[in-house]
Amino acid sequence: MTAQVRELWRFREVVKNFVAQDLKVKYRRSALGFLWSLMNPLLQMIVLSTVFSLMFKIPNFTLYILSGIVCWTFFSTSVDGCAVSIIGAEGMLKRQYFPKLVFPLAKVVENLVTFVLSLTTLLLVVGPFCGFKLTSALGVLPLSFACMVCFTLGVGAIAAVATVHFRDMQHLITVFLGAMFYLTPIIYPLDDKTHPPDPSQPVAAAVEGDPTGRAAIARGPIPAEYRKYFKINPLFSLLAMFQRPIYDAMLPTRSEVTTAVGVSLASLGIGLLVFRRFENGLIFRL
Amino acid sequence: MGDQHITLEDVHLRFRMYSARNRSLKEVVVNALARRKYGKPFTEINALRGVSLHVSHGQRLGIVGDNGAGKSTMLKVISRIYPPTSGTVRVRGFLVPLLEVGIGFNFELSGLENIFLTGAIMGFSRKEMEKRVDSIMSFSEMGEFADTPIKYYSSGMAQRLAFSIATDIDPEILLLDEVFSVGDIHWMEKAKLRMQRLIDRSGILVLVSHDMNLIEQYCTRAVWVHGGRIAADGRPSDIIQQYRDSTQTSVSAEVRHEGASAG
Repeated sequence: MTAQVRELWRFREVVKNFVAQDLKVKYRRSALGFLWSLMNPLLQMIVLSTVFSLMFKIPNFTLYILSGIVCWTFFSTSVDGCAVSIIGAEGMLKRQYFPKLVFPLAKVVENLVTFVLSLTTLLLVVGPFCGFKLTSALGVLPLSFACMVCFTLGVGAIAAVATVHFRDMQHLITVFLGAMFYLTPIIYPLDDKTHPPDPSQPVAAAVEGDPTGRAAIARGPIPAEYRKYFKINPLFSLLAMFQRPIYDAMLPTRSEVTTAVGVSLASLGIGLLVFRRFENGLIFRL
Repeated sequence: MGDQHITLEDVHLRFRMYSARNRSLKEVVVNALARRKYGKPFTEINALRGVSLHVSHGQRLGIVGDNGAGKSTMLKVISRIYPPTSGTVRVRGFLVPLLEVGIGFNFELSGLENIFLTGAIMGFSRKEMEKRVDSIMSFSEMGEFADTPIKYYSSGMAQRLAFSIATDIDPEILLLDEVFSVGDIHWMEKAKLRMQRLIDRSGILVLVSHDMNLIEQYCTRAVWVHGGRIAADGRPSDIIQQYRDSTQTSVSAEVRHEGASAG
């Protein structure tokens, strides 16, 4: 695997080039440029928080959705992009040697750029209106990003190989991502042990009769006995790495951090192994 | 410098051509469930059957042979595009393959952007490429098309650009597959001149062509590839003669055969 990494390093200029060019192509044809990449999470956030805040009485619901939806957008667009990354490079691959991992990697990096920019912008622009607070807990975010990237690259590498073998994999991936979206606590809260917001600080959008939102969260829309099943989802702890510092203004719990790190390293390891196993045969299946 | 070489040892390349069927997971699952047998979903192709070849510094190797004999496949194995099924491929030296149209162009991007992309693929940083952009652009005569996406280029134009990049970055080993066939006379003259200069400088040239004059003019050595094997190896004039003779024999045999069946 070190050889794999060393070869990728030799091709770093290519990855840089792919990322820069893809971002350019993506934003060149629109006057609003980068703003478009904000539109998607922003609109989703507005619609979802309008609709679901009626169902789930938790304070600052918009901020809760924001913290999850941007991560989800990163994950799903990356996996979608990775899935077709090698098929899409057919022309290049037939004329020149590449370590194939360059293609999914470039997709993930490209989406990471959008991810970091849109999360930062949304938090700074929309955040102040929905209870976002700058706290030291945000210091955990670099680790959160690292976990998210490793996890996504692992899944994306497998998606890329699978799509070359079975062209209808793309549709399956869309279905799979659709299911994951609803199985992951993004538009609904799950937490039964959310750190209660500091009682000395009045919450801006406190719900009547439950000023801290503690009771509502403890109740939650998902019955307590089912919550453990939701936590099997590897994205649960990965998203907690963002939702905790952004929404709860606290560090993720120790078990969330361990699970997130473990899950992302496992995903990356398995992804790279699978990729290496099939890498050489890919060219004959394009 | 001077120790560049290409070494192939007993290289076999076998791959499967998949039929359109069975390329989807749905088909695979349905067939497995229904225990249906569609016959083979693929045909196996033995593109190379034990090729051993050593090309050392200073050699200009021409490869001749019929279509489908394995000439282009050999170039793709040497340039690592195809990993061999068995045997070893060792290449030492900075290698640039110039196969089909483009070196690995992204057709959505402009000619200028592709210069940088190709440079990156070859291991050059943006800065290093910036020094070369002007000479590449002027030699390829892109002119006002520099900012046009390559998908709007004619194949001749794309090939010209690829050739200009490949020859500008001074490869130690250059693989060429029928590049001279594209372009007008004016371009071909110009390209030949540049080619000659490059060949004089570069370590190794491997050229695949159906144009025997080209092989004779540029190469110091030739191999005749037949049925995935090297049938003959030697001086270009000898190899070309052998190849021509064999073609004539098979053609005249066919004629005789036809004559016999007619009579």
